[in-house]
Amino acid sequence: MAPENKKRSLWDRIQFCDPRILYALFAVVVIGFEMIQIKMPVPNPIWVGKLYDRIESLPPDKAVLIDCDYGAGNRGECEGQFKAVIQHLFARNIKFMVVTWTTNVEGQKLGRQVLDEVAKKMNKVDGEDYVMFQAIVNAGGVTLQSLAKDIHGFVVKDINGRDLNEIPMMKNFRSIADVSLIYRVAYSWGGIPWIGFVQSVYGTPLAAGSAGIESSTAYPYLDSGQLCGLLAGAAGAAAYEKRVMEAGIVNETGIGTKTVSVQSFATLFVVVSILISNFAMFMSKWQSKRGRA
Amino acid sequence: MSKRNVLKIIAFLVGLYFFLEYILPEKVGGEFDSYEVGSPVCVEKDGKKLQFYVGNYYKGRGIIGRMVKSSGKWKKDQKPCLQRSLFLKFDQYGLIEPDVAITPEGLTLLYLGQNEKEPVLCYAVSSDDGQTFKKKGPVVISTNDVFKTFENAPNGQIPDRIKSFAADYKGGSWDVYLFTMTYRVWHAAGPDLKHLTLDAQPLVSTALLEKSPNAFDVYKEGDAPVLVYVMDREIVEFRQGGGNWTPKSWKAPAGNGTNDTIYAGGRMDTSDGTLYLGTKKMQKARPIDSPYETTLCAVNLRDKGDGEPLAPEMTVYKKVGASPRPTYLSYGTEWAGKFLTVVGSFAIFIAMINLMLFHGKKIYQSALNYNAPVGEEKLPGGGAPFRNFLKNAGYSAVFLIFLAVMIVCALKGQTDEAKGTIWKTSFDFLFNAIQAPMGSAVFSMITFYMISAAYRSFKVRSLEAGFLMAAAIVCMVGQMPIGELLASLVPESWKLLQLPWLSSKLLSVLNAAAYRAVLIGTLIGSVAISLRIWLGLDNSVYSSVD
Amino acid sequence: MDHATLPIIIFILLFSGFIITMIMLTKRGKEVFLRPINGLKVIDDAIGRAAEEDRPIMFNLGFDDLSVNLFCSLAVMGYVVRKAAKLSMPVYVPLAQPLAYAMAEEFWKDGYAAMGKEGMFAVEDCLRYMSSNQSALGAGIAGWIKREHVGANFMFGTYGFESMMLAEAGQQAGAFQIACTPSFYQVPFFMVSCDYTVFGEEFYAAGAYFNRDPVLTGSLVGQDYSKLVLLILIVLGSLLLTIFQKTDYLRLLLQW
Repeated sequence: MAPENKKRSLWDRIQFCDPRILYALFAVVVIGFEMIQIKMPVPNPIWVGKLYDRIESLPPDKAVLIDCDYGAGNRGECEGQFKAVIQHLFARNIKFMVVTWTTNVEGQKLGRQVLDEVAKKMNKVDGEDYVMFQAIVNAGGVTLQSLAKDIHGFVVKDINGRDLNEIPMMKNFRSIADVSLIYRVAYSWGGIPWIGFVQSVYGTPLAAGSAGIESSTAYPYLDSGQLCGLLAGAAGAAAYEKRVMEAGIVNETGIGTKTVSVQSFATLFVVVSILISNFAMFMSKWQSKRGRA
Repeated sequence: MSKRNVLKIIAFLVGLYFFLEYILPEKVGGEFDSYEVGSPVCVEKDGKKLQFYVGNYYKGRGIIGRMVKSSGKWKKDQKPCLQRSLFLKFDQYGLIEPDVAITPEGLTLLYLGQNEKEPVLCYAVSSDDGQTFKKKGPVVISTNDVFKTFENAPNGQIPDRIKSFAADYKGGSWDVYLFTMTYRVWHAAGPDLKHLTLDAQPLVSTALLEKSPNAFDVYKEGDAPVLVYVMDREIVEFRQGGGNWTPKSWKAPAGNGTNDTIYAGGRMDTSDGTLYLGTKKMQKARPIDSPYETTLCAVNLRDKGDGEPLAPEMTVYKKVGASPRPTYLSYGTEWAGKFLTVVGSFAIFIAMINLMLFHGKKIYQSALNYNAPVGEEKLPGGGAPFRNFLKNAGYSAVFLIFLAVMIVCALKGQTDEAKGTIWKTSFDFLFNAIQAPMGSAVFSMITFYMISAAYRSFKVRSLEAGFLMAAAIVCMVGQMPIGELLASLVPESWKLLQLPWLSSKLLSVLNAAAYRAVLIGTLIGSVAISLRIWLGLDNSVYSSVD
Repeated sequence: MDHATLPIIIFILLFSGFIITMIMLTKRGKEVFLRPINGLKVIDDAIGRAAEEDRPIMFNLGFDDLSVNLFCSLAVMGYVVRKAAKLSMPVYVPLAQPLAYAMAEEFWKDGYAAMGKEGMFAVEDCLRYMSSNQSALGAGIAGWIKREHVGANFMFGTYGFESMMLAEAGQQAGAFQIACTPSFYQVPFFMVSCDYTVFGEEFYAAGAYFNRDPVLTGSLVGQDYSKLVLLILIVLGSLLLTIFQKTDYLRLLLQW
């Protein structure tokens, strides 16, 4: 608690400073490093490599199911994860289905913008190379089970209003048996329903892209093999974008790479401010002991 | 009986229904093939033609059914002759691609059992002409006289994953041909299906066709095997001559595009040269029905020359895909899902009404205040009525206006015809320029709040707090490029000091252990609560007042 | 899961057996010891403090839809509402799910009615559906906390990233904050901003702490026995796997 005595020492003033000062400094750091983009080495987490290798070895006669469930708030982290993976899938000519949910309209809108942009650049056609549809959420596991058992029966139409039976690509992809990988992009990878109702039942590999803060709950599932890959936050997105660039699929840096260097310095700011606060606490204690002595 | 007790009884019965549906073994009867039929195999025994096929009551749930031909007509058994086993692992998810042979024990049916891993080649034996079968487990194949089933290889020692197979029994010996995922064909032979020896080299070592067939069969012409590949719109036979495999093919008659008939399963009946085929054809059906019309049919290949168009000559059984006929307890799950969807959708109205009431009331009261004479204002503030109105109900007015605008733009701007219209442009603008940036801005506030919270609270007042601080810094910095940069300064022999490595170990080992422990407790807690609610022991769900 | 496998059935029956047995024993008078949970003990203090300062109380139900977590939160909400009603204090309940609104309204009204304070506060003023969008929810509740200068802020339920906003807004408004959540990944945010934080299975134990009903306390003890069984299995399994790594029959047993 801040001492109520009006005469506060320097260290107390530092310890209990107005949070607005911190906000202002932080804003300066973020804006500054956003403008002066410093090139930093991109992290190379092992689980990003595993997802990349898995996509490299996917069979061409099955599709990938992408669960696009991120929102405007976590766009900075999740959009890069989504974009890099679909670029990779397009480059390998692997068809994929993007499922969005009625409970998150933003996911559909944002995902569609990215998808349309990438498809246009890579000359891919909606309905032949990819499909996007929206599924009604009943209750977690029941929804996923219904989707896994019969995609056409559960979803019926794509987001353009076309009957799935009339879409050329969807002739061959009717259930989870026709899916070689599930990739969920969301703020919270929230995969327990996917793991419990789909991955453990049908054995389809599951990978996740989530915000960095939520990714810590995914690690237990990586080691046990229930998750086959993880893109954690902007760092994960940047790592995947790097691989995609090195493979020659794209030749421009993605949003993850641009974000991660700023994020790096922002993290450093947080660490330094915590250390300063602790240092101020120790100095304040030492001073008051000296004062008493 | 009080209302609460009635609710408890209903809750218990509904819960009991779903609990039983979950734990009781599924026993499918009646219309077990309502969804699709396919993969026919025919055999003649004691002058009777018996046909076994795969029926699906749900996508991917295969069951073997039987038909008997008597007096020129095929008669289908009402009950299936072989089903999946829920508690044995090899065919938990269904049975596909049967093949039948007549053996001294009666009829032996081989099939691929689907499970969570790879398909397993299993067999079952019947002594009553295939009315019922007794499962014998997986076929065992060996390369070195060790006839053993392994945990990860239930069929023994096979070099590749099985995609399809064909089996033949003659003169007390089995010949089994395996078509694998790498398009190779292997041959195994032996006195019984638990002692098959794989040939040293594959019969076919490269892909004979670019695509893998929908169905695969092998029959013998003399001693030489003939491979039959059933493709989407073509049937190809391969015969070996001079070290090469020579094809002979028949194409399906010209179709009209998306509605073409696709050949699915197929097995040769060598007694009369008939190929029994399963076909699939798309049809416009109600959304919940199977969109396919599937057929079991037959065609005689012997009379056909190479390249002749091939149309099925005899339709054994036609199935227009219908709503899956679930097992005796599965109706409820489907119905419950739909019920929840409808109720949930209507619940949105309750929420909307509450929003309208709250904000409408604010605007109404402000409007009253607006018109109230000086000194009689109902809300605080006076002097400048419009300014007070804005102050008291401005946000509510903005909210209601934007709500109405968004609803109208969303309804009118999301159809195909709306492209380029003001509705679509407005909706896109409202989303891209207002909602998305606002969402991002609000999410960004968390970072600021986190900084002030961490600055204020993250103080090392004890040893444990010190460890926590160290772990937090390692994890934060280790996952960032700055961690990589610092790690590049540390030699490989000092890997323990590399922050990314340390951070990943902390997250995947220590964090995982703690998370699993908390998760176990949480989930057991939720099981306990669910049990109490189901058994009616917990009154708190009905009211806050006992 | 599509269908129960044999181990799942065994575990369901075993855990249910423990829970039902302990319920029956506590109903017959068996004394059980419940470890005190600080965060739940101080709920009364928090309500009293808010009443002394004449500042309203806020009870957040989190982001749960119709689920077990919602029922647990509502049980505690009912208790808080009754206590607040006794002191003639308003309880504000922001909601994120329409279905949760319907249930919360019943509990809220019943709570005030039980203390004879029916109609004292308007439902639509105290119970507000905010939004199912987490950003809008967090911003709305944060604004509400600051405008009304809330004195006690209870956060019971599942939360997403909006937890930081709520907790920090309450902290800045000077509210006494108690968070109780099964969301493991939001605990750090609550820890730094709240006075008391309860998480994990203690969230499910909250109901038992207030009315000491033998059913609820017996169920808690049954849960503990179930966890003990799991713990023994985990330790045994780890030891056996480590010692007998290459033995087939043990592998089969351990992977059943």
